[in-house]
Amino acid sequence: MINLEKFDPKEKEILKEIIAVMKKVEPELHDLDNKLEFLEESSLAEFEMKAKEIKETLIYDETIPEEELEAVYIKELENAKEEIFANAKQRFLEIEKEYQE
Amino acid sequence: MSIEKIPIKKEHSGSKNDPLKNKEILSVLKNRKKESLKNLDSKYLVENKIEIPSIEAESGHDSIEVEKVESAVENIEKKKTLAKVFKMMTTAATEVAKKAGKVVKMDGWPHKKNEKKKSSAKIVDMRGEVVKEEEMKEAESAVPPGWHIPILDETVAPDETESELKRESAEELDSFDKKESFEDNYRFVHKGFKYGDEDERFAGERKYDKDFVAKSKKNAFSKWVEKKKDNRQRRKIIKEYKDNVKKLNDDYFKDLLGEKRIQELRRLSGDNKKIREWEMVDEILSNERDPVKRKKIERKMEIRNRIDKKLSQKSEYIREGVDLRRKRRMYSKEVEKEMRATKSEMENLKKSKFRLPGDKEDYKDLKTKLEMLKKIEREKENKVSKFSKEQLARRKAKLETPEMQAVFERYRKELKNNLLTAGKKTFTGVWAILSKPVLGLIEGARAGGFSGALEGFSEGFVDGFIKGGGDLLEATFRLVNALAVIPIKAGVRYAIAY
Repeated sequence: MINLEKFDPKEKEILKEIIAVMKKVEPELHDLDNKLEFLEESSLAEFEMKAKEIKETLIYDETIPEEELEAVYIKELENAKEEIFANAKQRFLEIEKEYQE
Repeated sequence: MSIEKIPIKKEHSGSKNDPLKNKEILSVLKNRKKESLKNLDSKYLVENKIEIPSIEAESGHDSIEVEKVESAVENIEKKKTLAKVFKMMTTAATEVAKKAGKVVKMDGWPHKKNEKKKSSAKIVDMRGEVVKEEEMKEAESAVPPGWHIPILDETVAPDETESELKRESAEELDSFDKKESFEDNYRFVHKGFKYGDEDERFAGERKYDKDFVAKSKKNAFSKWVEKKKDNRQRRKIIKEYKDNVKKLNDDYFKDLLGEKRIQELRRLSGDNKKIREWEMVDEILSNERDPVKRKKIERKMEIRNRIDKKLSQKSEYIREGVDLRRKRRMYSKEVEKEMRATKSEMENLKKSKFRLPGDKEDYKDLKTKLEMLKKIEREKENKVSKFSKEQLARRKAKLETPEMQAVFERYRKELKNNLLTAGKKTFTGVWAILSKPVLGLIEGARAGGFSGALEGFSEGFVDGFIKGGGDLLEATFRLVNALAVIPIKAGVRYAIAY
């Protein structure tokens, strides 16, 4: 924490202005931070759910022989990861665009 | 290749607790080993990677070496016999299956040790469809790996003997395919009971529509995301609609249509209102001489129609989802209701202590019906499977090995890193937009000759400027953090991640 008393009046003035501006954008930054955090966490949660879903589907899938299960599971997991990240990336861009506008 | 065992004389067999009590046994076993090895085909041993222990072993390990040779000899004998049986049974099975209108496709006799577990047998009918596929394990079955007893018909009880099968007339065998294809029309065929298309209650797709599925394949999270997305889109459309309509009302309906027309429209509703409104606008447009004004009205109406269309499409989509969920609930209730009724009938029969003749038979049938209903119930969870319990457990275990868990963890970590990288990029981008005024202030101060003073503003700024490689943005970020104006957890999150 910086003690404003240490600065001369002109420096103080500029600092106060900076603080005033930052206080204005503070709620927006918090909002942005929450959005990003939610997106990151929900994407990870989606991946976990998707992995469970893939596993469940593969166990009961009669078209996939037992010896191919692991390979298919890995492939499906990779696809899910790519898909979820692509969606998240799109959303990241949208968020950035919202602020740009 | 024949292997003769040299009989061990009784006087050399030792006691029960100590088989090597009599030392003479060693010399007998040595002789036996030599004789056995003479009879072995060396090529066969090489092919099968059978190691023959050294004959000239140290005296202290003689008994162990002899045991190894004996087991090798026994293995060869076993394999030879099994191979013969395999060949015989293959021929027999193929003949029987052919008569039943099926073809048996079998793997060859495994010659390599590693091939044992991989071998499998497929039974296909004449149309080329796989009827049953089973992994055979040597340990689980007395028959050799790769061989499988053909299943002629699922309705044939397992204890039915081959002679009984042979008694089946040629006509019965001919009608096999027809019978099977007829049963294919039913969703469930179980111990002579058929449910599904015949019984409308359980034929969801017939009752509702052909695309009906008993249960949604989406998980709770996907559903929640979709619902949220739908509602967000809907709200956005409604907002746009309201804004435009409000403006349209203010600009035109109030000024253009006039109070009289608006009053008239208020008395109408639904399609009538829409048609009348269009008539009014059309009337106004035809009376409007100014092309600019006409163009303006037309454009506004076009926007309004577009939004109207989008909104109705979205509402339709949401309504369809609601309908589907309602149908699923109805379907589920039908099955559950029938299950309850069957259980109560069974209870009644039990209470009456099977008084009437045939009660026991009815009870048995009801039990089968209940099994069937449970199967239908399971279908709602997409868990009806042709796999046996053991097969399912094995498949599950295969996907839950530490290796698979490690793959999952690796992908999760990769995804997390990618998300954090993209998140940081977005954060920095937006931060640049939001901190523009601050940067302007700093730049202004520097340009105004306050650069010296700015240096003294804070350790954070200078420190940040240096650590950030002269990056003004980084410096500002650090300055703001130093001022403790904004407690940004994102900064911490990204700092921890990298």
